Amino acid sequence: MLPMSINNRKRNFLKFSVLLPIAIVSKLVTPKFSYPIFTDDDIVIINGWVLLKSDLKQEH
Amino acid sequence: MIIDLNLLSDPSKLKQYDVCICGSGPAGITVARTLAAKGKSVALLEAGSLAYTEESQKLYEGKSIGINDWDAVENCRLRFFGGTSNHWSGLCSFFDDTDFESRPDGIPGWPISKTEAYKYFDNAKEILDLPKNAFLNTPKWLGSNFKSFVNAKSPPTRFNIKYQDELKKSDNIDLFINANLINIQLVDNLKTVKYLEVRNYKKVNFLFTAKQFVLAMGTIENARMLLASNKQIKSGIGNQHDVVGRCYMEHFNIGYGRFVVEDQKFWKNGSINLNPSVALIKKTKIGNAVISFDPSFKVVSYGRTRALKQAIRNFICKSENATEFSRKLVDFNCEGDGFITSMIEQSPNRDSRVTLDTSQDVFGVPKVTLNWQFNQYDMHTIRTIGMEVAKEMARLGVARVQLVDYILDKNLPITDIGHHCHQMGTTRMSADPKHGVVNENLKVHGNNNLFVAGSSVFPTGGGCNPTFTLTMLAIRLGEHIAMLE
Repeated sequence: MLPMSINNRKRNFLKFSVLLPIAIVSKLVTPKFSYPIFTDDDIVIINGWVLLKSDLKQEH
Repeated sequence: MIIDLNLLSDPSKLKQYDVCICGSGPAGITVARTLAAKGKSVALLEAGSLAYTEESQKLYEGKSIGINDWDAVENCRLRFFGGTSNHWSGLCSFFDDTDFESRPDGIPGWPISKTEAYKYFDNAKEILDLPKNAFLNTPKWLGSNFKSFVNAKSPPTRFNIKYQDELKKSDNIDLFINANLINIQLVDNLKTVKYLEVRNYKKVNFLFTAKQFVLAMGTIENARMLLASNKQIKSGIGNQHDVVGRCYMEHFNIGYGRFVVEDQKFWKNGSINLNPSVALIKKTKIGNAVISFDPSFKVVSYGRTRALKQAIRNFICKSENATEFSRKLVDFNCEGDGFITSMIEQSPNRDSRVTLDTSQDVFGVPKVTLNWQFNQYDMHTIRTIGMEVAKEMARLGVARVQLVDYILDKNLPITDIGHHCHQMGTTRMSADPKHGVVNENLKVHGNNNLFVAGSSVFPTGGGCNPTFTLTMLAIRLGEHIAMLE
């Protein structure tokens, strides 16, 4: 019995040679980080992460 | 005594009981045992058998047309002795004071106080096999806008196993299995129940007579049978103000996103479950909830290439940028990551409802259509709680939370809405018949001897699992009926 069927070979070829590059390129062309959302309190939201404004200053 | 209605051939041989209870789940069994302890004779009717059968379960078939057409109608419920206790998780908790208050759109809260509802706290603990120190050792939460979720774990108690022998030996309770309610017959200007029309699987009809009657068949079925008993009153029993079946409630299970542990020592005991504080609920006008943080300290790869996958994962997780990038491509976790799940209160909403379908089951009873709906108050609760709990974690410095986009952006639809099989409402309790089906003693408005037990009488859902509260209310109902002539 073959370790991998022809169908699986085709599927893997499609996955790695076609779909993966498309996925990587499409992710690369979209902005990695969104603009920060400043709330009216001590919180800032960057890319969905809810952070303290004071922590942000320390990091930069 | 346990009597199989399929084996009875003479419908005229039934005796009159003090109380006839339809449904042998936690509520029905608890009402029956409370009444039996007071010397009352009880007919306890179970539509299924002592064990699961396809024949019985099939009679729960219906439609679901609401949000997220999940299979609440058929899969959350079990139609045999012990009811839904046959697959409950055993988590017990109780309502906060704010859960008893009125809700938006002028919908009243509970007509009884928390003290009154929880009068039988210790009895319910015993019934559900909770330890004596249950609810007492909850760790204190350090933040200001949330508090620790107080809960206790039942083994879980399977009423089928725990109470079957007791009922078999009982002198006061006759448990009838394979007994399907198909109609409620009224007399006395249509204000009193005369008998319940019940059918076995051989399609032989039996008439059960009693002084008092209790429906304890679950949230969907209680409403269904009140609506379907429409031979004498076209709109159904207790439905003079078009309230039966309305305000169907669940607890929303919203996927909020993920978090990264920032203080390993803080999470040494694993999961953390939080309720919003009373101050936050009042200030932001939200419903109650439980938010659960489940950290995963060991992320393991699987499959034939697990060693390679694990090595790649460990390499990627060392770099924050590489981790971020990988997460954009696939669902990717590192050690210390965790997921946020929830149990969010649904506000009572008249458009969220159970109605009768045009199709019928094998006994000729109309099937149900469930239309589960949420409203703008629920959206407000869901988003506010997500945002506030993320802020609380940031302020305490114990975890960094990444919220999903539909929590941050009010213009996006909330796509990930689940449920907890906590079906409530549909025959809600209210002093005002315009806002409820039963009064504070769980008697159907406008009726002299028909009562409802179970979470279908809850006016609000709160931020807690329903079984503990419905058990206390069932004891209270049994005590109340026992005092009646």
